Amino acid sequence: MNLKIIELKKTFYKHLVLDSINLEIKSGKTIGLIGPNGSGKTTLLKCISGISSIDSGIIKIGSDVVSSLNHNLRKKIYFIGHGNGMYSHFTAYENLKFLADIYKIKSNIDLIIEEIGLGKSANKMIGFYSQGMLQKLKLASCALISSEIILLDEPLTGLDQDGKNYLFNLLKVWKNQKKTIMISSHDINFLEKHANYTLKLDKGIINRLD
Amino acid sequence: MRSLIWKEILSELRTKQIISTMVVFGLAISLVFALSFNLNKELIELISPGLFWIAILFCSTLGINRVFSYEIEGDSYWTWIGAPIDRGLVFLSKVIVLVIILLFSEIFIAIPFFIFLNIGIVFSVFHFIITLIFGTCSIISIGCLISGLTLRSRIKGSLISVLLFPLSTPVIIAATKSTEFIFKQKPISEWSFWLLILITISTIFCLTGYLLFNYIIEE
Repeated sequence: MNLKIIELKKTFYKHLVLDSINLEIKSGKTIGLIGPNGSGKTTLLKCISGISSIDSGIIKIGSDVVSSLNHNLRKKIYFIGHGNGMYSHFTAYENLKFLADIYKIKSNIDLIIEEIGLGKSANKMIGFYSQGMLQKLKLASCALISSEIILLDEPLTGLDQDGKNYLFNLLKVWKNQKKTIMISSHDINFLEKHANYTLKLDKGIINRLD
Repeated sequence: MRSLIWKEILSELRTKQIISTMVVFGLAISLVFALSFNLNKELIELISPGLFWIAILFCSTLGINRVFSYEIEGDSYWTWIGAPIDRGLVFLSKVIVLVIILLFSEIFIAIPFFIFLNIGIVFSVFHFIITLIFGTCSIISIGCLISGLTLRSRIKGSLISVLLFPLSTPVIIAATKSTEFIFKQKPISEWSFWLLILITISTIFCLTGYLLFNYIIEE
């Protein structure tokens, strides 16, 4: 599914974070996003996913425009960010079950938890999870939702080798399924290996990295 | 909607943060009132409806403070803010669950309140429950809307109290008047006006919250 951004602007407390971003990502492409801290990478991903509002501009998924009211369109986008994005007093199973319910997905949650290697901790409250385990759970949620546009913000953070392998396999599967993926990371080697091309975001302005 | 309500109930069952603080605070207020007002029985019975609703309003602030704040911790709200659901339903689910929790707490607040203040009035429990339901619903719907609006404010706690108390004044007046008539065992036709005010306020704020929540929750 194509993703198109036209003249996107976003400010936080009068500070311009995204300055007239224009971007088009074709269906099935994996795009890397790099930039220094505070350059607006997370904000851009949050604007695309509909978590953050935008000041002006248009974000289009296929032919539909992302807006607060177009809630059915949100099924096509899934974002995982720095924060847990999960309830710390719920177990891994309960968190994924809640997600599956609100996304109206019927899937084998136990199997997904087993595949990510959290089988033994599935019934433990995630407040007791380590950073790496939480990151794995977020990837599991991504695998569960399996939306057409996937936005990953620093997905390697805290992952052990098994977790990284799981992510690499997921990326391979998603590429085969022609999903549009946008990955923000500071690891240029990771992006060079997995992305079709990389964009650099600095001071709110986006440029293609050659 | 069912999953959202289940999420709210499970959150409270796990943490018990809202119900425990509400009940303890309610008991403490009842005790403070009983010890502070050294008045004769008639006078206490006269002012008891107002005291009762002040106690309920104070207790509700604890739940209202907490109802959205746990969503911000760990960015838990990302689960539903990006989900293909009507975000207004999240607001309604929070109102429904908080009303249930406050009504449950009111059992543990009302009984000691009548015992500590030595109020021996015979009244229609059914009418009192009806007033409790709509009074609670009005306070919570106003509170949840304020709580959502002040979600990312650093002075959220104080803002809620500053905004909730003045906005809840019509609710407290209407609920106190209804309770006063119930305690005097007056027929419903004499005080239905106050009950209708409570129903109207709860309907208006539930609808306003439902319609506005889509916009106020985005960053």
